[in-house]
Amino acid sequence: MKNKLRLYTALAALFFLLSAAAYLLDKLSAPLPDRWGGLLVGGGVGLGVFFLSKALTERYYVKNQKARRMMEVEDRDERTRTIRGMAAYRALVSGTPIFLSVWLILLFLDVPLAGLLVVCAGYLLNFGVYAYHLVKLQKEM
Amino acid sequence: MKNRLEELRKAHGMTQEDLADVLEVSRQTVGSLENGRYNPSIILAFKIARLFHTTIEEVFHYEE
Repeated sequence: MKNKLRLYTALAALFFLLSAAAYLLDKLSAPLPDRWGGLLVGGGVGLGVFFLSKALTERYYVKNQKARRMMEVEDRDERTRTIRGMAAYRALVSGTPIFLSVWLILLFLDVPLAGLLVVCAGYLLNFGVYAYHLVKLQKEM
Repeated sequence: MKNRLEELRKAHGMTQEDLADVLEVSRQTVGSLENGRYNPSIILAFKIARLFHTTIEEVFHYEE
């Protein structure tokens, strides 16, 4: 558990440093090529915040073992898993009209074809993952 | 599904939290089981019946 805390803290620090370095390079008139600056700064801060929140959560559980046990029980609880499964399925089903709406909006915004195809591929990949797990679980059960 | 879970739990002097700890489920699951909003898996039903030294049919009443 303390190893996880150290790992998350280290990753948070790494990503914050990465984004700070990219930002400084930009300010010192040594900008990075094209979109890399934005990717490193934005992505670095985003990932830094993500790992910082995981580190803070892990720190809380290190100090509060009872809360950790409750979280683990909750995670394994059959009712929780049933609810998660049903919610995930409903999210998948409602994903189709949401995706279509987004796709249409992008189309009217004159987004290049490549962008539209990437969005389509993302949706199909998500559905493919669902189909894969469906088949796998049907065989297992 | 109607059941006698609350009655049996109280007869054994247990709180919902105590029962949840023994069954290794969340307290919310025990609450949902007791008021019939959630039906247990067969394994959980067996665990409950064994805990109270009775049969599944004595705990849970299936009505069509």
